Amino acid sequence: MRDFGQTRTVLVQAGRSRRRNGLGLAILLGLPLLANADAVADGSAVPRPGDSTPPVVRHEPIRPLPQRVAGLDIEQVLLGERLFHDPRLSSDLSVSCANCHPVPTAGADGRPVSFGVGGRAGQLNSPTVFNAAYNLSQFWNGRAADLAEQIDGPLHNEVELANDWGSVIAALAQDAPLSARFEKLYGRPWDVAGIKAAIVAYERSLTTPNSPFDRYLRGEATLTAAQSRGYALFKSYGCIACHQGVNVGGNMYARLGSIVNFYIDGRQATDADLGRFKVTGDPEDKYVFKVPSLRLAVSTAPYFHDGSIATLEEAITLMGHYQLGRRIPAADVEALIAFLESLQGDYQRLSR
Amino acid sequence: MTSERMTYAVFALAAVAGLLLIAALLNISSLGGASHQTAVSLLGQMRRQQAEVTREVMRVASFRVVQYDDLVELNRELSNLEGRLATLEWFDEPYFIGLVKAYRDSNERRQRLQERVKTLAAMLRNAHYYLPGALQAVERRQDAARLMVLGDYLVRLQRFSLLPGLGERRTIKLGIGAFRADLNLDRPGDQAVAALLDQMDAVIRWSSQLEQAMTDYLAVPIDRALGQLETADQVRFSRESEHLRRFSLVLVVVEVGLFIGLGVAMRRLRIARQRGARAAKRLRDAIESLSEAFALFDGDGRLRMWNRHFKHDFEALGARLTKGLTFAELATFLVQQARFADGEEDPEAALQRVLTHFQQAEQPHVQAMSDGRYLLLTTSTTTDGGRALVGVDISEQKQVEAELRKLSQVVEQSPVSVMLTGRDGVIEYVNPMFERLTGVAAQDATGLTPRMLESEEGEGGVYQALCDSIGSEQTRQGEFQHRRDDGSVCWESVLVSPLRDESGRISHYVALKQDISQRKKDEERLRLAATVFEKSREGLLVTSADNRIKLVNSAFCAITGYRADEVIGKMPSLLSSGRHSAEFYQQMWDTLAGEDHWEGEIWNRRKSGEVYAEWLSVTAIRDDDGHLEEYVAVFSDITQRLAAEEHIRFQANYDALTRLPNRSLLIDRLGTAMAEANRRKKCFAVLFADLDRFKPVNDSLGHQAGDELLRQVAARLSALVRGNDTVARLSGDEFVLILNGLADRDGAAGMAERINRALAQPFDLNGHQVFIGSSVGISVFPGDGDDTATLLRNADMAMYRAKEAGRGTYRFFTEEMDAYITERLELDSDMRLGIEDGQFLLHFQPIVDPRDRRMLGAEALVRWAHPQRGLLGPECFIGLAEETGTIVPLGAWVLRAVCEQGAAWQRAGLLDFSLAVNVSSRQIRGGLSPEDIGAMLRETGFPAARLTLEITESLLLEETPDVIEWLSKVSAQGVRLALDDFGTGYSSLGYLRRFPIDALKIDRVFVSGEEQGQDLPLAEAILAMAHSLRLDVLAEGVEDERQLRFLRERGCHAVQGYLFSPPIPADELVRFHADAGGGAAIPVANSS
Repeated sequence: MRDFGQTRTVLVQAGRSRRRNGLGLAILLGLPLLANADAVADGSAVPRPGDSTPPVVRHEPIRPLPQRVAGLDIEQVLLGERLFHDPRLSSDLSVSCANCHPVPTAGADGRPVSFGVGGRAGQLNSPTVFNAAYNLSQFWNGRAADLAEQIDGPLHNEVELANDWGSVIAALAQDAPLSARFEKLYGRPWDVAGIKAAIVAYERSLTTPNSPFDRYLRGEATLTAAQSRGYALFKSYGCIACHQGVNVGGNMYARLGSIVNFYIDGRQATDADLGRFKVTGDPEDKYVFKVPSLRLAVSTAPYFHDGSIATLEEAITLMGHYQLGRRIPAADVEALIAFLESLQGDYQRLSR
Repeated sequence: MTSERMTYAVFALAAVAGLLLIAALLNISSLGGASHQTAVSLLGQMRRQQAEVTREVMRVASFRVVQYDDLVELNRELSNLEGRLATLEWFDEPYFIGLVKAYRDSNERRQRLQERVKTLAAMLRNAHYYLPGALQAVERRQDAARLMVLGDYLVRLQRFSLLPGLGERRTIKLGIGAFRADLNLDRPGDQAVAALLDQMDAVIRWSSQLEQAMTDYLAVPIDRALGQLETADQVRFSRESEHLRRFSLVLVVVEVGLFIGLGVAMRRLRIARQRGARAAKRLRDAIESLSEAFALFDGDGRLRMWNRHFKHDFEALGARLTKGLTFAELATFLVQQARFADGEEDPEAALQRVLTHFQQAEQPHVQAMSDGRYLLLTTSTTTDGGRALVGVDISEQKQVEAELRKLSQVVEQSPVSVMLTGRDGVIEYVNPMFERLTGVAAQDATGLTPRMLESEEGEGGVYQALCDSIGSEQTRQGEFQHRRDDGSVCWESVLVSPLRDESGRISHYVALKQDISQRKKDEERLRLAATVFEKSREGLLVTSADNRIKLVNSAFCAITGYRADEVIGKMPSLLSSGRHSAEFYQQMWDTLAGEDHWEGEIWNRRKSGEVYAEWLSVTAIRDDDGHLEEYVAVFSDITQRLAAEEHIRFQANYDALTRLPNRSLLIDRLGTAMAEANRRKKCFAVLFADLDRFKPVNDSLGHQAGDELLRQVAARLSALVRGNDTVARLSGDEFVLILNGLADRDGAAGMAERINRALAQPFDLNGHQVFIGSSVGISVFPGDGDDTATLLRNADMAMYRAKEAGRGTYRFFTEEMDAYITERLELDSDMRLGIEDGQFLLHFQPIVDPRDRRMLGAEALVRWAHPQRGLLGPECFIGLAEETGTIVPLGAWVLRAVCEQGAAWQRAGLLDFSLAVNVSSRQIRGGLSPEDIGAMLRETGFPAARLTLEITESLLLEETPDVIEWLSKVSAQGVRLALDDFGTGYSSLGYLRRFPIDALKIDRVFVSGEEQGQDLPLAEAILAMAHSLRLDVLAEGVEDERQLRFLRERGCHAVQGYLFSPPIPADELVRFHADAGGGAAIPVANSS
C-alpha cells in the first residue's frame, strides 16, 4: 500500500516538473548572449562600415569611411603598433611588417615587389595596409578571410619574414618590459592569439577618413570642377561597377582582362598571375584578383598585382582597355586622377 | 519584532534556497538543455542569415545593387555565426564533424558562386550602361537601316540579359554574326561597330554564365545541410533530456518546500504592515486642510486616505471611492476619463502608460477628465513605500494651450509646405507637408540651413535667389530645384516672406512652398517628346484629321527620301507603292476608324522610286471629347529584316542545292493538299521519282557533277508541273511531286511517263554526256493513305516495284504491294531453307567460238527447284537475295557446286573448257575472300585456270584499295576475271587498266536490243577498244546469225546466246560439248 502511494506522488510531480523545466531553460537562454559580450575585447570583431559616421547626404555607390573605428582598445592598438614595427617577427631579426607596409608612405613601399629576409624578392606588389580591414578578404587572391589569418602568410613565407610562431614568441619573451606589457593587457604570457589580436587592432586603426570626397558625400564640402568631372567619368566609363563601396573596391573579385585578354601583347603569365585559381582551383578563376581599393591609389604606385605599371596614367589607360574595352583619352585620364585625389583622407594616429 | 526577524530569516532562507535552485538548474542545463537551446538558436540565426545573403545575391544578379559592401557585411556576420559553431558542445563529436563539414563545403561553394555572380553582374551592369552610348557613337558613321537592326539587337540583348531564354540567345547570336559578316574593317566606323559587336557577344556570354552561376548558386543544398545539423541536434537533445527529467524530480521536491516557507513569511509581513498603517490615520486632519487634491496609497497600492478636494475632483469615482481602492483601479478610472475626453488611445496601452507614469514618480501627469477639466497629477513615494497623489486643476491653462494648438494644426495640416527659419537662415520648424515634399524628417531638418536641400543639378543662381531674400525686407518668389533625401529631385515654387515680432523687427522668415514637380515633369516630358520625335530612328509622321501631313521627323526624310517641305500638306498616299489593293487600304481605314489603331507591314515607295517594306503603326489621336484630332504614324524600314527572315525561312524549307522544297516543306504541302482535297472532294497524286543510275555518276564523275546532275533533274521536273503543283527533293536522288486537282489516275500516269521521258534524255555534265533514267511510284489521295507518312511510304513502295519491273517505268501503289512485301520475306526464308535442303541446282549456258562454234566454256546459272512453285530462274530470286544478303550463302554454294562439277569433268578428262560463275559485290563485302576461293579450288581439285569469275562494273566503281587487293589476289591464283554487263554502267575502258581484268562481257542490250541498228555500233566501239587493251571480249544474248556475223567480223572472242543453246542441265551440256566438237560422254557431278 505504501509503495502505491509513493508512486502516485511521483507521477504528479513529474507532470509539474516538465513545466518548471521550461521556465528554467527560458531564463538560461540569456546566458550565452552574455558570454558573447567579451568578443570585442579580443580584437576579433571586424570593423563595420557605419561605425561612428555622420549622416550621408549624397547617396552614391561609394560610401564614406567611418570617422572613428569602434571597439578599439588603445592599449591593444599601441602594442600592435610596436609589434608591427618589430623586426623580431622575422627569422633573421631584420624585417618587420612595416618594411613592406611603411605607414608614413601610405602603407606600401613603392616598389614593384618587396624584399624580405636576406633581401629576397617577393612575387607580387605589396598592397597598402591602410583601410585593409574593409576588404572582403586579404591578399591579392583573397586567400585569407581576415586580417588575423593574413598575418600567418608573410610570417611563414620564406621570402618575407621566413619565421614560425615558436621562434617569434621565444624572441619576444627575451624582452622583459614588453612581456610585462603583454601580460598586463591579456593576463597571460605571450601567445599567438594575443599577438595577432594586437596587430589586427593596430591595422584596424589605420584608416584614412574625412577625404574631400567623403566630406562631399556627407554634404560638408563640394568637389572641384575637375574632381566632379572625374567622378562623372568614373561612373560613365564604368570603373564604378567594380570600384565601389566604402573602400572604392576591395569587396569583390574580377578577372584582369575581363574584356581583352591581358596576357597577350607580349606579356607572359606566371604562376603568381593565376590569382584566385590558386585558392579555388576553378579554371574560371584564372587571372582573377581582388579588386583593389582606390582610396590611396594616387600615393601607392606602382600598380597592378605585379607592380608592373609605374604610373597612374598608364594604369587607368590599361584598365580602360583591358577591363572596359574603352579608349580613355588623356584629358579624361587627368580628370579621373583628380577624382582619385579626392579619395585620399587623413590618418590620425591613436594615442593615450 | 520577533515576527519581523522571523520574516527576514525566512527571506534569507528562501534566497539561499533560490540560489541553490538556480545552481542546480544550471547544473542540469549543462547536461545538454542549454547547449541544445544555443544550438537551436544559432542554427536558426545561420538559416536566417543564409536567407539574407541569398536575397542580396539575387538582388545583385538582377542588377539592383550598386555597391557590394552590404553583401560583404552579411557574409561577415554569417562567418561570425559559423565561428560560434565551435563553441557548441557537440562540435567535436564524430557524427557532427561530418555534418559540419558538409555544411561548410556547401557554404564554400555558395561563396565561390556568389563571387562569380558579383563579378558578372558588375560587368553586365557596365555593359548595359555602356552599349546604348556606344551605339550612339557609332551612329554618326553608319546608315540608318543598319543601325536600326543593331539597335533592335541591343534591345533584345538587354531583355535577354534580364530574362534569358534559349531562343533569344540564338537569334541575337545569329544577328550579331550576320552583322559581323557584313563588316568591312577598312571602312571608317566599322571598327567601332566591330568593337560594339564584341561587347554584345561578351554580354551574351556573361548573361548565360550569370544565369548558370545563379542556377548553381540556388541549387546548393545549404538548407538541407543546416536542416541535417538541426535534426541531429534534436535527436541528441532528446537522448539527453532523459537525464534531465530525473534530476528535475528531485528539484521539484525542494522547490515545493521553499514556496510553502515563503508563503508563511509573506503573511506575517502583511500583519506588520497593517499595524503601521493605523498610525498614519493621524495625518488625515492635516491633509484635509490642503488646497490641492490629495490621496495616499500604502505600499500595497491601496488607497489609505484622501481629502475633500480629491473627493471633489474625483467625484465621478462615486461609490468606488473607498479605502482599499487600488492604484491600478484609480489608473483604470483615469484612463476611462481620458477616453471620454480624447476618445483615441488604445485603453490597454493607455493604462500601461498611466501606470508606468505613476510608478516612475515625481513625473507630473496631465489628466483629462470627462467633464472637460484637466488635472495635473503628481505622485511621490512615501517612506513606507506608499504613494502620495497631489492633483491641481489646470483646466484654464489647458484651454489656452488648445487654442494655440488649433492654430498650429492649421499650419501642420496645410497642403502647402511651410518652413520657418530664423534670421540666420537656420531652420526652426517645418510642417509635415514639407517632410513629405522633401523626404527630410522634421528632426533632421531643424538646425540645418535650406542649403542641404540643394540639388546637384540646381544652378548656383537659383539658390542665390533664396539667400538674397534672407535678410531682405521683401517677399520673394521663385522656383527652385530641390533634392529629396532619397536623392530624387523635385521642383518647388517658393514664397519667402519675413515675419515680424511685436516691435516690428524681422524675427523669422516663412517659406511657403508648393511642389511643382508635376508641372516641371510635364514640361520636361514635352521637351523630351519633341526630342524623341526628332531623334527617333523610326520614321514619324503626323497628319491632320483630313489626312494632310502636318509634321514629319528626320528619320522619315531619311527613309522616304523626301524633304519635310515636300510633303507637308500632302496626303501620305504619295508614298504608296501601288503594291496593295484598294481593299487593303480600305481595311486599314476601317480598322483605324473602329479601333483607333492599325499596324502592319506595308510596301511604300521612296522618292527615288525604290519600293521598300515598312512596319507601319498608325494611331488616331482624339481630344477629350472624342473628336478626331490627328493621326500619328510610326514606321520603320524592314526591307532588310524581311530579306533576312526570307533567307532563314528559305533555309528551313528549301533544299540548298536544287532550291526545291525540302522534306519538311513537302510534308507541310502534303498536309495542305490533303486538307484541300478533303474540302473540295478532289483527289491528288504523290509521285515518287528515283533516279536509276545516279550513284555511278556521282562515283565516277565526282560529287560536283552529281550535284550538277541533280540541279538539272530539278529543272526538268519543275518545267513539267503546273504552278500549284509541288516538286520537292526528298533526299539524295529521290524527288517527290504533288499533283493537285487530278481528274483521274490517268493524269498521274501521264505525268509519270513525262517524267521518265524527260529524265531519259541525256544530261550534259561539263562535256560528259550522261544517261540516267528514273522509276516512278504513285500513290493517290484519297485511297492510298490517310496521312502524309503513309502516302509517301506507299508511293515509295510503288517506286520500288517500278524499279524491279525494269527501269524507266512507273507503278501505282496497289493493295497487293503490301502483300508483295510479305511474300518476298517468305521467299527469302524459303531460299535459306532451300540452300540447306539442296533445292538449288546448276544450269550451264555454253560459250562458243564465233568462228567455228566450238564450245569454249559455259556460264553457270543457278536454278531453284521450289517445292511449291516449281523450277525458278535467277530473275525470280537473285534480286531479292542481293537485297537481303542471302546471296552470300547462295553464292558460296554456287561457287562450290561449280568447282565440284568442274572437278568431276576434269577427272573424266574432258575439261578442255572453262566455267564462269557470277560473283556479286555483295558477296565480296559479305566475306567471300580470295583465300576461301583458293581453298575451295584445292578441296575440289578444280584447276584455277578453268575458272572465270564474272564481276559487275559496280564493284569496280567502288575502286577502294580493298577491291583492288581482292581482285589481284584472286587473279594471282590464276583465276580469270571477266567484267559482266559491260556498257550499262559508267566504266570507261581507260580505267580498266587499273584492274587485273582478263575479259569483258558485252551486255545483251548492245547485242540484242530493240534498236539494233543503234546499239551494235556501240558494241563495235567496245570491241575496238578492248582489243587495244588486249582484253578478251565475250558477247552475250546472241540470238541470230546477223548478230553472230557482225561480232565475228569485228573479232569478238566468244559468244553466248539462244542461237547456240539456252542454259541447260549439266548432262545436256556434256552432250552439247560432244556435238560441238567435244569427245566422249562426261560424268555429271553430284551437285547436292
